[in-house]
Amino acid sequence: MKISIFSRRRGQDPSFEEMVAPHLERLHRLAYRYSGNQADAEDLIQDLLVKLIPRTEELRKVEQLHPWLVKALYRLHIDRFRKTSRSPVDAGYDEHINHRAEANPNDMSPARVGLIRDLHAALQYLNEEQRALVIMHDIESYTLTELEVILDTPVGTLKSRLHRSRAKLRKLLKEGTVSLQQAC
Amino acid sequence: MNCTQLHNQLDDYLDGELSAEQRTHLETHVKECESCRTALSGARVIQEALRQMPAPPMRPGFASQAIKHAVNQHGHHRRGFIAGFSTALAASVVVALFVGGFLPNMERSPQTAATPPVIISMQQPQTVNLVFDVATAMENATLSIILPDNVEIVGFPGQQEIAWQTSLYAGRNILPLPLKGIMHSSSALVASIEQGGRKKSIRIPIQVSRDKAAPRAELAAHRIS
Repeated sequence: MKISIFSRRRGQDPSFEEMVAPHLERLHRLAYRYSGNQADAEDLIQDLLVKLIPRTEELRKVEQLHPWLVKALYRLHIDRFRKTSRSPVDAGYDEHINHRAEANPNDMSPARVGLIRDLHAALQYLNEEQRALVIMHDIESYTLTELEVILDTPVGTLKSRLHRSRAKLRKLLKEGTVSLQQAC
Repeated sequence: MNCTQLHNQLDDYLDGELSAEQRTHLETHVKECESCRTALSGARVIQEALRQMPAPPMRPGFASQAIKHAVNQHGHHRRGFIAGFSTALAASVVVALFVGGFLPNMERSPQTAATPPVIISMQQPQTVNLVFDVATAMENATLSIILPDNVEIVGFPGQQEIAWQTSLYAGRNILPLPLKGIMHSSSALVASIEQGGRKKSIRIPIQVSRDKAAPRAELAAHRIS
C-alpha cells in the first residue's frame, strides 16, 4: 500500500497521468497501425498528449474516456495524414512478422505469415477512411457501436463502408498476391 | 438462397449478425455450392489473419517519457497557475516546487524563490502549504525540510531538520507545514526531494514578524522549475 505524507489533490481529482496512462498501450497500437512505423506512432502519441494536457479538466468529466481518446487520436492522425499524405508503409514490418512467427510457430504457419504480409500491403490500397475502419474493427476489435461514437458515423453507414473495404481487400488478394487455399 | 444473396450476407454471417433462420439458409447453400464454400472459407481466413496481424509493443519507458514531456511542455506555458491555486487555499502560504522531469543527478545549490519572503508570525502558528508539482508519480522519495533557527515546526520543537520517506502522486502534492516564528529575523527554509541519488531543492525566504500575520499579505506563490 502506498504511504504518502501528502494530502491528495483537491477533490481527489485524478491526475492527467492517472487518466491517460491505462489507455496508452492500446492507443499506441492504433497509432502504429495508422502511421505504419514505430517512430511515427510515437510522434502521434506524443502530439496527442501535448494537445490533451491543457484539457485535463475536460478529460476528468468524460465518462467513457477510452473511446474519447481513440476519437482524438483518429482526428489527429487524419489531420497529419492530410498534411503529409505519406503512405504508411513500414519497411521493418516483414521483420516484425517473421520475429512474431518464430516466437509463435503454432499460431503462425508460413502460409499465414505470407497472408498477413500481403494483407499489410493490401491495406495500403484502401482509402484512409476504409483503412482506419478495418484497423479499428477487424484488427483491433472495436465494435461498430463503439465506432459509431468514435467516428461520429451511424452504424448502418459503417457497416456498408466495412463491407466495401473487405470486398476490396478480398479482391486485391484474389488478384494474385496470395492463395487463400494455401493459407487455410 | 442464391450465390448473390450469399455474397451480400457474407460479412454479416462472419460478424455473427444474421438471424438463426438466415444462418441456416446460408449454411445450406454453402453445403451445396463449391464456389460459395471457397468464397466463405477465403473470407474467414482473411478475417482471422486480420485479427492476428502483429504490432510491436510500446517501447519500455515510452509512456512515462511521453507524459513527462507533455507535462513539461504544458508547464512552460501555464503561467500563473499557482496564483489561482493559492486562492483556493484561502489564507495559507503556497510555495511550489515544480519537478517537471527527472531530478538532477547531482546535488546543486538550492534555487532560491525570487519572490517576497513568506512572513511568519511569532504570535501564532501559521500553515505554509508546500506544493510539490511532479510530472509523474514518485515512489520511495525522501522529502527533507531544513529549518532556519528563527522558526520551528509545531510539534517538533528544537528540531531543525526533518525528513520523510514518502511517495508522491503525479500532479500537485500538498504538504501543510505548521510553522511558528521563534525569533524576529530573516532567513530561509530549504525543502528538498531526493530519489535514487537525484535531488532538487528550493530555498524559501522566511521572515519572522513580531506582529500578528495579516492573511492577505501572506499569500505568496513561488515557483521553481
